[in-house]
Amino acid sequence: METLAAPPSRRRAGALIAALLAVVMLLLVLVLVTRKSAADRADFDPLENKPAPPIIGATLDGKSFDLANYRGEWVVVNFFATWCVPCQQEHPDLLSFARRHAQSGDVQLISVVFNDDAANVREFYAKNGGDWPVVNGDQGRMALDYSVVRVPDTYLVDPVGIVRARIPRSVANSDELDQTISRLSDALYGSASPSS
Amino acid sequence: MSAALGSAGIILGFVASLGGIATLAVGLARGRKRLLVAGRTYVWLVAAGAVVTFAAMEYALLSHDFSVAFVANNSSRHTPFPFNVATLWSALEGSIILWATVLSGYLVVTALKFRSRATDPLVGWATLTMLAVSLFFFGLMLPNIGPADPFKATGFAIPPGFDGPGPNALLQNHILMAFHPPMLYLGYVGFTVPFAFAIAALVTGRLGEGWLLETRRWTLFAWGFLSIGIVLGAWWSYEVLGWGGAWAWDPVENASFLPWLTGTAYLHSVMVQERRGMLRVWNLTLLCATFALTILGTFLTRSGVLDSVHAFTESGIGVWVLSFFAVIVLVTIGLIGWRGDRLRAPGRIDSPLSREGAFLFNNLFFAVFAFAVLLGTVWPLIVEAVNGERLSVGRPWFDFFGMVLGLGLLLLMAVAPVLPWRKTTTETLAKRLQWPAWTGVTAIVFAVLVHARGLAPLAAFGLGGFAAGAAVRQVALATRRQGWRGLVGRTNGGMIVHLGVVVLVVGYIASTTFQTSREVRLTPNQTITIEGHTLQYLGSESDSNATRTSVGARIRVDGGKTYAPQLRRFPNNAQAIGTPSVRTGLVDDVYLSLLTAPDDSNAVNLRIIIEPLAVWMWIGGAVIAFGTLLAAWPGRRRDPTDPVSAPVRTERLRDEPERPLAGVD
Amino acid sequence: MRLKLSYALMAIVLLGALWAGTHGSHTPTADERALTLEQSIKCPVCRGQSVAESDSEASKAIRTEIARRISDGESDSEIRSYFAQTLGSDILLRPASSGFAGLVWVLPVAGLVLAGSGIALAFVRWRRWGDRAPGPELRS
Repeated sequence: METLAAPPSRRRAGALIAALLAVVMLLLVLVLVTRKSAADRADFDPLENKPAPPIIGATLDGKSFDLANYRGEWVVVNFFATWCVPCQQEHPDLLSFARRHAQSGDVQLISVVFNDDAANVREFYAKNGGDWPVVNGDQGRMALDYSVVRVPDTYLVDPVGIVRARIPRSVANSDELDQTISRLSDALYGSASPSS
Repeated sequence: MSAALGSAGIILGFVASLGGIATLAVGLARGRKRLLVAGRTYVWLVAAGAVVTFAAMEYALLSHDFSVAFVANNSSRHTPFPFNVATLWSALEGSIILWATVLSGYLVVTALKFRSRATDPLVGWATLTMLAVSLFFFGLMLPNIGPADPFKATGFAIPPGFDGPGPNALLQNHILMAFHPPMLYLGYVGFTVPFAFAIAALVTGRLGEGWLLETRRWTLFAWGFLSIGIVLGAWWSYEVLGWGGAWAWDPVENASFLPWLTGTAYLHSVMVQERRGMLRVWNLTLLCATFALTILGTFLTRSGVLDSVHAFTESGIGVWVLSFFAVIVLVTIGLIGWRGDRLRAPGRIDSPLSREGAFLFNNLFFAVFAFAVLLGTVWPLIVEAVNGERLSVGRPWFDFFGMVLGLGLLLLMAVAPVLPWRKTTTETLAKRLQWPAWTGVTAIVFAVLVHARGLAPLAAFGLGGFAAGAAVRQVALATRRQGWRGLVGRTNGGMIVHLGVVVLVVGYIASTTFQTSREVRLTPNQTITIEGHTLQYLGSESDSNATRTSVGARIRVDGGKTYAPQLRRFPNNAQAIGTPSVRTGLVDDVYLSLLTAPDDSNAVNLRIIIEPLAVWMWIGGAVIAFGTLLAAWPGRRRDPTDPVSAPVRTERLRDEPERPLAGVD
Repeated sequence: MRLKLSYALMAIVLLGALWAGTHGSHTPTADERALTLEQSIKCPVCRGQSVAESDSEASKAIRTEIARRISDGESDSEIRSYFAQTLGSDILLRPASSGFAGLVWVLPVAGLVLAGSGIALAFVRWRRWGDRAPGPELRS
């Protein structure tokens, strides 16, 4: 086999290309090995510390609703649907939470329907109780404003209408909600916490 | 019991690989031929280990041995028999078993085929390389040590009547599930053989004796299996996933496509090496890249860093696979950098207007295509690492570059078959291309007449017709000259493969660009018309058996057969899986997807997609498979410089060696 | 001569067919605009499907919103930036063409140009070899 020793310049060029390629591939490996799994990636939260997008519409009872009317108190905005199993599971916790704050009037719970029939929702509430405002979700438009793509998803809006926290899964229990609100209140206002 | 047996098999495979490597290494270092022959015995032991492991897992699955965690997590008493068998490769650890088994199969076949040359160091190095790869895969599965131990115990006492969740519902819906992964693995893993010989050639510095050409047929078979595996995957995607598409540039799909691209480039450029002795180092690079890409693909589909509709669940093997990939890359680049110089061939390509020139451009396009697909797949990860930004690279991007490079490749497919070796004139080219060119123009005219619009699709149809014309012309000339032998052999089989590719591409473009999609709500006995098809909703049906409950809508298409898209629910699985129903036709497919279960008035929401020429994607795939068989047909021992196209005067250098010079190594 | 005529005729037919197949690019209807937009927005709860192809609730909500905004008269880029703002920039399947991320459009083209030039240079070098007296490669 006839081989030709390449001239030194060709050899150097070849070694340079090889070295360059090795560096690029190692950089790629470095990038890949430091990536977290797709499932662990942090949730996108564009609303933190931003004004809460408007929630204007009709409740299931036919009354008109506007989130802006609730300045002065914390609002727990809960997105849900009757076809969502974790939503059904968190309902009792929401009930006890609402009952606890019904007297003091310092925290208001509202629910927004996400892609569900009004009739189904009315039936659900009739069967399981709950007398807080349930707003018709307008085919998911308000959910998109709130970056909600799965339910349950819950936001905490402070008394001046700024979004302060998000719970992108079912509420574990009503105490958790209380603790989060008092923690946020302390951070914002010092120890004049509105929760019990 | 199966766990103990299976673990024993894994240990056997691992230890035998180690023993084989050690024996061969010493034999190669000291030049002891007897050790080289003895090293081959270890291959049989590795194969034995793999067979035992595979059999043990299948036994565990079929006997519902829930004490094995893999069975408890992936299998169910209600899974029908064929799907239960296929459950082995439906989840991570089992897929490694399949990989190791296929690899040991290839090891055995290699050992048998090269047994007369077992004392040749080149064969020794190749076997050693393959054993090193098998060491890695068995190592992943080592009981209690490896990150993918398939026989890990469930960890709690199994209560009587316990049942596992069964395989993912999407994997139980269609029997193609059984065939797609093994076919794909036969392809993937098959590339290990030419890779091993490439490493051996680099290490021993012996490149000129046709070793790569000996393994060329291996590469062809591996490539063929990979092609079939990819097409089967696309077909399954089409029939099962409900969105009416076959290819989404999903990371897992790209992982299988990348080695296909570099493998196809190799199959073409190796012909330049055969004819002219050139591009030797480049061919080695391609073989190593193809193998490295199979390992990288394994990482992408099993590490969880990229979200995909059919990625395996995330596991801890990512780091190991990535390290293996890094080792392969470093070793390969090092070897090629060190040896590549010495192995560079003399000679030149006389003119770009020649078959060698066309293959060079072919490799250019395939290499850039592979680069683009890899770039697009990992770009979100790179950007996130550099500046934390989140972005997606999806179909619009891939379709754009796929179209540009695809059009270039179609043009090359049209021109290359008529180009003779060495060089030619534009007059010859124009004469030979006349009828293929008319075929291409006719294709465009026909497409315009049936209302196809758009520059890119029309260009693709035209170039496709052009390429098909060139392929048919080549086969016609060959059969005229040689009778039935004009259909077999590398060039002619290759032309059939080209035809298959053209048919597949035309089917893909027609069914995606020109599809019509509509979502409708139908009440019982309502009829609608879409694109000339009448569909009548006859009523709903429901069915329930041990494996699943389903609810469906009966639709009569064009007054003929009834099709029933369904929503199926599997036990132990909350989600309802849509099972589309497709009326396949030569002109178009009527694709029916049930969106909602029948409501109180028995009305349903249906998605209807009319997809022109969809079936031709699968027909094209079959033609590719057939062409591969024809291409692998052993031809008469041909003088490698025999012109294969119509006789053209090429001066044949009398002093150009047909074989490499003897005595030089 | 016959060959040249044949090609000339071919060119005419080709241009005519291409003109017939591409002229009169009509302004897309609302449905067509909606479909294109839906195909370029990722379904946020699926794995790798676009909103056009998925049946999840989130996709339905996005499709409804797209249709509503189109009938409100918003432009395609306004609609896309709304979704990028509320659901994250990775909701768009077509990567931005600016900034570091936009390099993804440039790199394959650069690769093609670079490698193509390399091949062209090789051909030039090979031609130069041929012009010299028979070099070492023709020695047996």
